[in-house]
Amino acid sequence: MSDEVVTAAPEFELESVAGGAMRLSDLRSDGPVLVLFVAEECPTSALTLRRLGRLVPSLAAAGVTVAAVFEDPLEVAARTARRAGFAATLLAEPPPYDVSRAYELSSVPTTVLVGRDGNLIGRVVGWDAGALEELIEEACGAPVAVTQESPMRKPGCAAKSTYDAQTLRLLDAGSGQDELEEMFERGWTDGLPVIPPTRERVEAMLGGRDPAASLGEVPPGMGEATLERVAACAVLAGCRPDYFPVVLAAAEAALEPAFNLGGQAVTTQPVGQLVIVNGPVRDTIGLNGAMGALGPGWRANMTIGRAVRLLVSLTGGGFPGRLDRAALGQPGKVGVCVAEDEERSPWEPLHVERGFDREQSVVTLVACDAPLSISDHRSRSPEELAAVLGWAAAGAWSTNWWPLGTRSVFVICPEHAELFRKHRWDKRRLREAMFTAVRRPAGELRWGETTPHVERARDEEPVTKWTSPDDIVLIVAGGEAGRFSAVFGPCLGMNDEIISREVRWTT
Amino acid sequence: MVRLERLGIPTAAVATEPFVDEALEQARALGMPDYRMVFIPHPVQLLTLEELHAHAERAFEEIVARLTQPARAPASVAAGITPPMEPRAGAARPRS
Amino acid sequence: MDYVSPFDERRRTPEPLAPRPDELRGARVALLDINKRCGNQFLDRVEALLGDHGAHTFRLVKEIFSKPAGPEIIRRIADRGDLAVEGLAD
Repeated sequence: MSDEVVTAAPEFELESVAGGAMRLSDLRSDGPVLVLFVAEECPTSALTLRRLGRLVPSLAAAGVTVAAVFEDPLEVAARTARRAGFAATLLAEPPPYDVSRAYELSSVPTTVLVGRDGNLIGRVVGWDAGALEELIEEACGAPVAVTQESPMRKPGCAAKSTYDAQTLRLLDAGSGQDELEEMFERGWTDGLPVIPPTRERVEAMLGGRDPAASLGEVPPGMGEATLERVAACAVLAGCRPDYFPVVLAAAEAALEPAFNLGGQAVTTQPVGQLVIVNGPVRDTIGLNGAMGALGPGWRANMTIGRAVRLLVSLTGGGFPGRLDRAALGQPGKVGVCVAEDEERSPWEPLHVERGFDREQSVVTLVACDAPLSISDHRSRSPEELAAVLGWAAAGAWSTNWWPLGTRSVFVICPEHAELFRKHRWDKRRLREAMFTAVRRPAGELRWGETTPHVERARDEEPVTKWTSPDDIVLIVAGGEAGRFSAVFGPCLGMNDEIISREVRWTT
Repeated sequence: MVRLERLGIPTAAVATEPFVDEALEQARALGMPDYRMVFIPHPVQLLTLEELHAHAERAFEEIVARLTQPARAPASVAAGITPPMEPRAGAARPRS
Repeated sequence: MDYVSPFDERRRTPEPLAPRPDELRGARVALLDINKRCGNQFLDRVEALLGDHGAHTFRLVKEIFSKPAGPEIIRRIADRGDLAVEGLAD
């Protein structure tokens, strides 16, 4: 503990997570207060919060108030404290971090003990178990064991109040020159590198369209999707300008109220937005619907899906771990976009089913979880194959929350589609066969979480996976050799519709 | 419920604790940074009726406080969402 | 380097919360169930406690938990209520 001339602790007033502003004088009204200055991005701060968090109850019992001042927004303070198991008064300090400056912080964490009289009793810089033990004993008037776990000492990180232009230049010499790192530092990515949206690139993406024209507000944060921002997302994602009309159509579809993007963007479910493309635009932009269609390798596939996701997570604020609460997420949340292989399909393509002309270019958006592969190399009859395809989806979402109450999107590979073509099964016949095949008696479904339907049904009553054959959506895609189809996981409870939008070449 | 507050209806919205950070960010994004929810422990789906009622009883004082305490003057804040910041690499932030 | 931000960085004037009354007694309190499981049971107890404190209560249920409450529900609350309790989000 440092030897300090008795000085008054600078007064402060900061917003609290619990609500309302908190002053230092409020905190010390009943006794001494231990103030932890911390920052979310500092691992030593996290360590300090974890270790001292355990002591908060005993400190409170000894009449010592504990408060953490975060050099971060309130929600970051809340999240960081919760993860560290630190439950005490949480305060947030906004830029330019005047309170940190008033306390002359050089680094975080810094733990300061303020007496009831408002005097600074001591401070500990960094994590120092021994010094903190002394400080806490001073506060409580009795020894309190901090910890014997290593590390017993650990230096912290520069306090944000010490950042000025010169310091930044000295300390972060690299990041000024490295555009791509800059994008990470700004938080303009999904964790993968992005293309910096320079004015030039964004203008090229806009292609003469009005940058201020708006598609509406993007939930959940309601950032406005001006064409300029949509273009920025498309550039970030790595799109070429000729993909932009498809991105625009997908964005329009996503923002359609009936799609309930807002519900999808904040749920704990692992939902992404599947973009299916039909019509001539597929070839124009080189969108893949053949071998490897659901995987990497094609720029249009990778970047168009990604542009939609960046619109939601950046412009819309639906960023994972923040407003997007997906508990586990899934790889498709990076983006998934696929062309239907209309040429190999024996059936009418999705957009024609949905009322468009074959020659129209259309994007269709569906709320979807990750795909599950369906292997079948042996079925010789359409009945068999329909049952295999259907039963593969039996576990989608749940093996017993039946009926699902929403749709499943199947991607039928050309070899599988060929079997149905040979036996002249149209989509309607296939849907009905799949629907009929996947059923179990209610008695077998009565465990774990059950649907109201199962709860009401008699034991022997057959319960189907889907509510109706219409909940089975079929498209054709994949390589010509290899009998692997796929079914996308569902998204429940959104009351969402599938939305299709025509791709328009000019706005 | 920002819409209700705008219509002059004080609202106490209740959620479980893991959503504290989301509630703060969402309130700020919707233009009401001072709005606070009431939080109860998580999870609730598997609780008995008695346990749920006990949570309600424990939360009641805070619910009343949200509905009847004087509303604060608003803080100044930017609209929309702050971008997520990546940790800064560099000499000032030694990691062990 | 001048970049085009994907973020909507407009500075919006923060809105104040609705003014609060001094006490519950005599207030009409709407209880809005957001329609997730257990919410109604939680609100049952809150409703009873509100009654004990002299408030008048009425119940509503959101059409679907994953979408904002429709305008009719908002209107009903605003017309008939002075205060609102909403739950239970998990």
